[in-house]
Amino acid sequence: MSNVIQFLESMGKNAALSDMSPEQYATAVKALDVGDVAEYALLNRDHAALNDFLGGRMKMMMMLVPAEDDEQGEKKPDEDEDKEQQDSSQAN
Amino acid sequence: MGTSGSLVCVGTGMMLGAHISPRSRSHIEQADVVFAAVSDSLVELWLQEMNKDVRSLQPFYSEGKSRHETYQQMIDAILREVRLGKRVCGAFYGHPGVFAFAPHKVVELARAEGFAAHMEPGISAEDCLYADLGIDPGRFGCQHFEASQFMFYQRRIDPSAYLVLWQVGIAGDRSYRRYTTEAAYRQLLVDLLVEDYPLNHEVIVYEAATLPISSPRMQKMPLSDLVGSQLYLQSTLVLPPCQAMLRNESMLLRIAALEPLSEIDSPATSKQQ
Repeated sequence: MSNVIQFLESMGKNAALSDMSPEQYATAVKALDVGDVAEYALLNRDHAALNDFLGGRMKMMMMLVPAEDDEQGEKKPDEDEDKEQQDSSQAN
Repeated sequence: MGTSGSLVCVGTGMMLGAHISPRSRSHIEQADVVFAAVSDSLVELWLQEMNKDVRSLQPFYSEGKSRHETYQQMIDAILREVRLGKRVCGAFYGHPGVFAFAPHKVVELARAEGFAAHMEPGISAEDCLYADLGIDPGRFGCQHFEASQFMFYQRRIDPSAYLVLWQVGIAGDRSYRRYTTEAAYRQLLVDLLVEDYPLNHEVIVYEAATLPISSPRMQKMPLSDLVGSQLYLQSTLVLPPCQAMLRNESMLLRIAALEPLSEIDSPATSKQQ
């Protein structure tokens, strides 16, 4: 596992690490020995820079639910919704 | 029909490392193939460390493409591997069954074809919202709607309860092809909300933290400022109650008629609110 991801995971699951003071955090980051770029990104809590360093996706989509009823969405994805007569109780 | 394939849809929680359950993690680690739909690129990299065959569902999204088509392609991709007899895991951010169409549908379809399929819960953005904003949904009640659905349909909202509108960054999008909607759409949403809330009512734009090195967005503003605010795909709008709850006196009388006076010790019988 990448040291950076491992560090983030440890911070996420360890209450003591998540409550570090700024000085303790800086010490913990420098102890990782992940190189200047990743260290600088971590110290600045810079998500974009970390993502660049680790080669993550540039853009993430997180929509998982349509506004309209699922069955309608499957059957008529392109139809003008104005014409639909729906029971609103079936909506997602 | 071969039924050796199986499917589990798990929630990864919202924050990397913090929220995933041991059971969900083991499903990810033990699966033959994992399909990932998460909200943070670093979380996706984290999942890739747990299983050698993690396939992102992100490529199915595309600006200008109907999200109905995107969701169907996600379902098809997952089911294809189940039908090949593999142990398949769908890893979805938050809770896989909360404001998520594809996980529910793919579990339903897999079961209909005779495969073992189930869902494991996760810590959702809604859960994080309650913790970060200090809201107990049981105190005044809490209504949740997808923001566009809230606009498209005539809903009866109760302004003495919390109102939470999800996906407010694309409120009013009827094309299912946009990843943002402009201020004019948001103005329509505000026009709808002022039927029940004062224009100066304080609302909150909320975004859960996805990394342990970041903080949630909890931006308070008057409702009128929503039109010009920066909203993203992950933004949620929270409207606290603007009215006190109204006692249902006729129901309280009917209940009282069923009970001896000595048995009545409910806060609802005293003049609170």
